[in-house]
Amino acid sequence: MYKKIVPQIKLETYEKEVFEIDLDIAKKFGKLVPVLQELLNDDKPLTIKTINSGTLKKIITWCTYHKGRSPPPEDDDNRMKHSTEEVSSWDDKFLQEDGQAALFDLISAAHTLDIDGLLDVACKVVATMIKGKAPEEIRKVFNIKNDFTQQEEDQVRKENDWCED
Amino acid sequence: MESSWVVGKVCEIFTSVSRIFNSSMEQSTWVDLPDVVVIELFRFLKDKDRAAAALACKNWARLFKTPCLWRSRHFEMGGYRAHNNGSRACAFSSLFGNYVRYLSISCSHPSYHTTKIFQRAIEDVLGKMRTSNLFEFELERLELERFWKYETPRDKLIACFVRFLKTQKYLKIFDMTAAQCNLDGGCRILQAVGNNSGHKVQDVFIEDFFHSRLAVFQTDHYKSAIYKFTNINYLGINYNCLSDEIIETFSKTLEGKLECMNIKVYRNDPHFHTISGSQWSMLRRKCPKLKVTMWFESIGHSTDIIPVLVKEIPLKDLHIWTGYDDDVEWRLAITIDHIANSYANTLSMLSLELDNNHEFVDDNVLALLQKCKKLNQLTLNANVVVSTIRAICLLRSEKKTTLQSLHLTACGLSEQEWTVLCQIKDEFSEMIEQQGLDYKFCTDLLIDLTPM
Repeated sequence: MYKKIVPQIKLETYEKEVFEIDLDIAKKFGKLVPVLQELLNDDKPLTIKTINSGTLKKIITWCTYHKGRSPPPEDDDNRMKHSTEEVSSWDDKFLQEDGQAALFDLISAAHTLDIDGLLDVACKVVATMIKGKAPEEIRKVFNIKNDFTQQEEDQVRKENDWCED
Repeated sequence: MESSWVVGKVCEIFTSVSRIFNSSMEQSTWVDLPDVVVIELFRFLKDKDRAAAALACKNWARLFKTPCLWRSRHFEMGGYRAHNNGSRACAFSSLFGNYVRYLSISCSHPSYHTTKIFQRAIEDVLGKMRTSNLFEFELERLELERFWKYETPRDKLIACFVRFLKTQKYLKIFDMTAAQCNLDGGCRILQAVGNNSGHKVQDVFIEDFFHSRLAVFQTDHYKSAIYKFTNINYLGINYNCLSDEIIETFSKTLEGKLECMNIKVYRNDPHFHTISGSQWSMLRRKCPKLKVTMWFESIGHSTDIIPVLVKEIPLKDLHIWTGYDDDVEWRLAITIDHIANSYANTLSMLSLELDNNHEFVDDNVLALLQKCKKLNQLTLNANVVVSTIRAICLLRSEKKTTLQSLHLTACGLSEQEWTVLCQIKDEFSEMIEQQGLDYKFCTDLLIDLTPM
């Protein structure tokens, strides 16, 4: 018996753990596309210090799950993308199951690696966490420190009051 | 192998542990998100939530003002909250008006009172957006003829459109469907667009832009305006805005560009003019990709329809709705024969809503189905006997027609005819299902069609 050889590339994470990633998954990593051929030939892994193992594992799982599925149709970039399309329940559960810190890491990594579709869907999930909340609640959810003076805050509030219902 | 897995597992545990430490140590991770990511996040929020997020911290307040977040905007300026809607639109325009590329405005349920408010608000908003570079300007269903009884606000409104459109040089889409302008006002608006964006605009939606009674095609002012549009790909227009001369000019000004025309023909149109086949075939030669859709509304005489439908038109979709008029008795069988003979090679969609037609058209429809080889959608609301539906299904099962979609409206069926229709449906249900056909029969009898 012999196994079909799948071309793979190697990535090393923040924790110095080395992952072997199938080529067709790696192709989804926009930032790696230009160097894929080199990585294939090279036995030494590429180190990405800003990404931890847990996050990379999640990214690989996400890409594997979405491999056969067709990506959502491209929007015209200039058009506003309101959250019209629903996030699938699989994505929703997958992105939220490890808590907020993991989601934050995932978003950063999706941005760093330029992973088609993942940033979009992750941002949608975060957007649902903001929806309907008051500024104070948003700060609490995201651990954001209020760096406005009262005067500045009033100014911004006044400027944007056309947004109110 | 085994050991590296263990190491991986340990690392994983370590990471999740360290994350718990980290998240309590680093208080505001989310603030460290790159700006592009926050902007991406803002994209998925509605105005109200965006404004709330902008109040979270200074950086988010700054990112709230990113131009790419405000490219597309719809203003609803009518309705009972017209006043409030207007002032919000003005406030928005002061802040972000210049960022907008795709603008759409609507004014629903106008009344004398709200038209005045609308006119003032729109003047204010467009005044503030004069330095924007719009790609799309959309204002549908203004219906000036219908709701705008008083001339002063109407004239002021048109003047402010003209002023604004003179500042726009990059329009790709211009949509003022159903504005119902008077001749002078409408021509001034078209002139403003044509002079400034005429070489850019690709999609022009001016169905019912003028009132249908007008002989627009004879007006020099209109002709000189429409000839300035030299890049049209899609044109929605009325038949009273076209003529031999205009089609002839289009075959020069729009050569190779025009691909789609949507033409409305009304009973109120001045009927003394038709466009000749030779002009159509010239246009067709110069614009080989051209496909035409035609809508006939409130027209039920074959003598009115057939001269318009010359065989040289590259007709793809055709809709005929006769409307009701008890004074006349319409006969449209000869129209159906004419369509079958003229567009056998191009017609892909046909909708016949022949109200008040007193003649059976069964044979004509069946003949048309066999002649028009590209027809895949038929909507039928006409005088046919129930057995004709069986004949249509039979044609389909024998592959003598390629009809994919059949929408049938049947009124005044007797109980017995009903039973027959149900039988037909049962008989062909397998074919309909297996081939994924969209065959819907809508009737006024309330008996459940689905088999038990």
